[in-house]
Amino acid sequence: MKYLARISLFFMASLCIISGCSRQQTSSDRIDLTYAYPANATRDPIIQRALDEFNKKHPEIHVRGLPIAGDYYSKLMVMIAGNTAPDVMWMGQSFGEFAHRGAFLDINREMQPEVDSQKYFSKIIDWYRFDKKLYGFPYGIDCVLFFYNKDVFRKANVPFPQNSWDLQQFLQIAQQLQKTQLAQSTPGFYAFDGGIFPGVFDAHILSKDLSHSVINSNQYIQTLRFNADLVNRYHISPSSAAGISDKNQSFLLGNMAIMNGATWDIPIMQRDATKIDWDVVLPPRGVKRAIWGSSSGICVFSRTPHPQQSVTLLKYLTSPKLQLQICNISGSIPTDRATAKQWADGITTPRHIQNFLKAIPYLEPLPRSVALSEIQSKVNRASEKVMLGRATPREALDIANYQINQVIERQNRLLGYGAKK
Amino acid sequence: MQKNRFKKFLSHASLISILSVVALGVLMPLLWMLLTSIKQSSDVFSMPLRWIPWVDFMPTLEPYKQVWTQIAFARYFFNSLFIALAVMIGQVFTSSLAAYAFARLKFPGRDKIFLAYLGTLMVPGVVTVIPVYILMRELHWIDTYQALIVPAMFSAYGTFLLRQFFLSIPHEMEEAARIDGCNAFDVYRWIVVPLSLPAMSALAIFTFVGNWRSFMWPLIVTNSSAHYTLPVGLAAFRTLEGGVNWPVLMAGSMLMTLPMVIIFLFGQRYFIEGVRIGGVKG
Amino acid sequence: MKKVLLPRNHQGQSSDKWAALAFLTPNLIGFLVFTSLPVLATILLSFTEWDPVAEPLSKIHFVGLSNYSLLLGFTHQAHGWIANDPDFWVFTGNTLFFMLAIPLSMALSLLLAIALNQKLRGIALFRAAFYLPSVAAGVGTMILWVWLLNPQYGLVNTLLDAISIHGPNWLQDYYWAKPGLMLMVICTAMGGTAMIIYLAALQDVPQVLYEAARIDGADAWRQFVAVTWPVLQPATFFIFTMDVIGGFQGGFDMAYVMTKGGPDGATSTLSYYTWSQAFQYFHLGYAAAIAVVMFVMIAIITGIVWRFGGEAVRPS
Repeated sequence: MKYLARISLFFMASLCIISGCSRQQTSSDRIDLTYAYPANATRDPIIQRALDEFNKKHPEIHVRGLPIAGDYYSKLMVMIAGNTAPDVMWMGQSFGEFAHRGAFLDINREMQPEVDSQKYFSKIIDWYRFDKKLYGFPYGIDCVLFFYNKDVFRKANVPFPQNSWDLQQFLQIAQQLQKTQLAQSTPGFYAFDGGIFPGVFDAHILSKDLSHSVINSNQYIQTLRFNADLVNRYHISPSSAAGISDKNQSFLLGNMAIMNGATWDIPIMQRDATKIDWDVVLPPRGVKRAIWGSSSGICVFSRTPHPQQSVTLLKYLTSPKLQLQICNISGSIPTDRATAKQWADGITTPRHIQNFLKAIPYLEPLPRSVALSEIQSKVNRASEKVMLGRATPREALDIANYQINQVIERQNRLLGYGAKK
Repeated sequence: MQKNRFKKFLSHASLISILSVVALGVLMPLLWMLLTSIKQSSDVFSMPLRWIPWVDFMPTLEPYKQVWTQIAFARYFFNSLFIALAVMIGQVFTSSLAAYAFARLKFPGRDKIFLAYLGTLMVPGVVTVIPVYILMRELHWIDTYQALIVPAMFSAYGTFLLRQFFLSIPHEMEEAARIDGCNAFDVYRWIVVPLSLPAMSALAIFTFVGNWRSFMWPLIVTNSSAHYTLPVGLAAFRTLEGGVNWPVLMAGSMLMTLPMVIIFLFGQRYFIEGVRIGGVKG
Repeated sequence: MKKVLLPRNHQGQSSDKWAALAFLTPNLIGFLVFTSLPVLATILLSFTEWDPVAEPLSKIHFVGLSNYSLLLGFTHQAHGWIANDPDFWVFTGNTLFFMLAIPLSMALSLLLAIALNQKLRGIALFRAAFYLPSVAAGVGTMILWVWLLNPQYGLVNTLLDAISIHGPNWLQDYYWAKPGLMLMVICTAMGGTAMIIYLAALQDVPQVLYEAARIDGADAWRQFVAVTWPVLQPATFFIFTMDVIGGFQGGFDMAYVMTKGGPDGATSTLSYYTWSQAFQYFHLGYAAAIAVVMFVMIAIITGIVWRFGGEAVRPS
């Protein structure tokens, strides 16, 4: 009995000691900020250095960098739920989901000088506005163009694609590539992997004011049909496997003539594409020219105890000087025009890197809706159904339309918006 | 006599050969992981999948170097080790005591409380993560070692497992000891525990391994890289956009698997050559 | 041996109550605070609609059973009753389907444990070899299996080709995605915890009984049925229960890493659904409701197993 009591006591005591050991140290009158961003082994040192410089320049502020590995947005959600939210945070595609939930501070007034200076691509800044407020500021632009393997084109005697091409010409070229000797002799060869962006057909998921779904339009039906035909009718694309298929690898091995390539693929390609000659071209135009776009930006937490200092940090993190450093590592287009030009000038491969800058006027982001993740999953289910042949495009999109409207309705009710978006 | 021995040898030999074939099949994924960890990044995938690209295979230890230099691998390793060991000791110690109570001691509400233990195992952990996180914040344990150790220690799994094993121990020895005047704790310490070493070492291994590989909770509750465990640290090689540095990730996974193999090889002795105290068992 | 005399009741046995308290306390306190409290919180959460990003915890609002009616209810439409959440029923079906692999997996584990229970030199290495995959299973293994199940170049279809069977599209096929994943699970888990537990349990089989049975003329199978199996019952009950409990809650890693729940939701399990509701869509209340419903399902099934577990379950 005494033995047992002794052990339990020891146990409890150690627990107390351990918990005591981790008492936080509070500093005097220095403001402590936290900046959260997605972890990336190659990019983290650069960001840390930038934060160190900021700390030196602003001795009254101390910023702690918080690289988050894994599901970035999920961890942010947990931190906000548990009242440990960072003061300043990186935002990507899910900006709308957090912004419409009131997570961010309105920085319209503070960023007015930057906006007025006209140094930045104003179209991208507008992606961070709604209700006449500005909830974040972008530092990098991402978009998806077509990467193509010049060796494959040369071997197949097919002329390189031009920016001016349209869907018909694209199909022609792809089919030509697929019929060549190279294609027949290489197992797993495909002319194209990816899909055509719905915007090219002037198809949209949500209405302009994000209030309801417009996905069961003829244009979207056309999109799904066209993309399904690429696989099933023209046989120029492989059937898609959800999850991990590494199309980059196929492309690198010369098993893919054209693929959807993003800005963030640039550093990866520069590292890995040692054996092939590749370049980039604007995706073909359809009813109109539209290109998938997104951006990386910085936002300030709406309930931060230090709004002023947080905005100072935000301005620093989105400054042109830092933009060049980070965009070079991440593969992103700087939002400051001059820096963007510098960025493009500093890249030799691909040769037509300027195409990325040419794409900017045509960029269409995914809807900055509060329920983007959920809506996107319904859209994905619809296209999977079509690809699997389990439903016609019309059927699948009717279902998706109904589901998306339900999602929006429920979300509005949850957030008490009522008739507003 | 000779024929018997020969037959025995034959049956053993065939067993070993069958086992070898199956083992090879089962180990294949790990072999692939090992090969990947010494490849160049561009050689990782090919169509069709080539294990060793004989033509231009340049095995390199670069990925292993990168694992050590690009992230604070040594620190994460220490963290994982310390935490997994602490959880293992805590879990085995406290649940064996509780399991004995549930298996052998009579007290009011015993089965009902045990049912409650079982019940908590049936609630998916996905959502409970959030209340635990909030609890950690109330205790000021966010981003601390105790947040990584204490909640994990009190899973009902260990109690359930050991209770089942304690149930299967024949009563005779315990009754004999009781009649001799031993109290419950003495019976526990001198009879039940030694006889249950196989089960307890199994639990120790499971707890260690389960905690070693735990990703979601350490990810959520740690903020500073000083407290990262291995799975969290290695996740930095998988970027948000989906680009993965395969060789480095595999090298990290290989290094991460090593201690588990060691712990297993060490612990599995107790399954088979468990310390026995004569008596009922043949 | 220390002998401390405790008060005895009239039957000569010492009172258990205080001993029980001492034994239970270390575990019970931790259990109450760190395990049951969060579980209770989850149950409470299921009666709320809490979006943690939109509202701080203090503004949480209760909505009674509306999460449950949304999850489990049916509405009457023009052409009949349709489910409020059709995905829930599909995913429940998926989860149950995956659990069909349990008996096969257990049988294989038992077989392996028996095979590895020999006192041969180097058998320890074999044990490690079989246990290793379940332990090292992680992103790497799952990605490899994505390749193994590749319809054109994967090893599985190549082997099937060798015996002139045309393999299906596995993870890209709506109907074969689940069997493909089950194949992976069985191969990976057959040397896993179940095998370990059986190995440990096999130690408790009295060797004397084998001798007796052999003398009586029993063959290997008879020996197994009469001697081995009865001793393995508590362990079997444990493994089966944990596999059922785990099976209901499982499938998350596979879905997340390999298929993202596709194609068209074919490999989404209830745990994946719960996770996406909580961590992707931030519907914590709804996710908690799904968790509670899962709990009820598991409890019912476990209760049934408990009832029929017999000797294995109840302490005598």
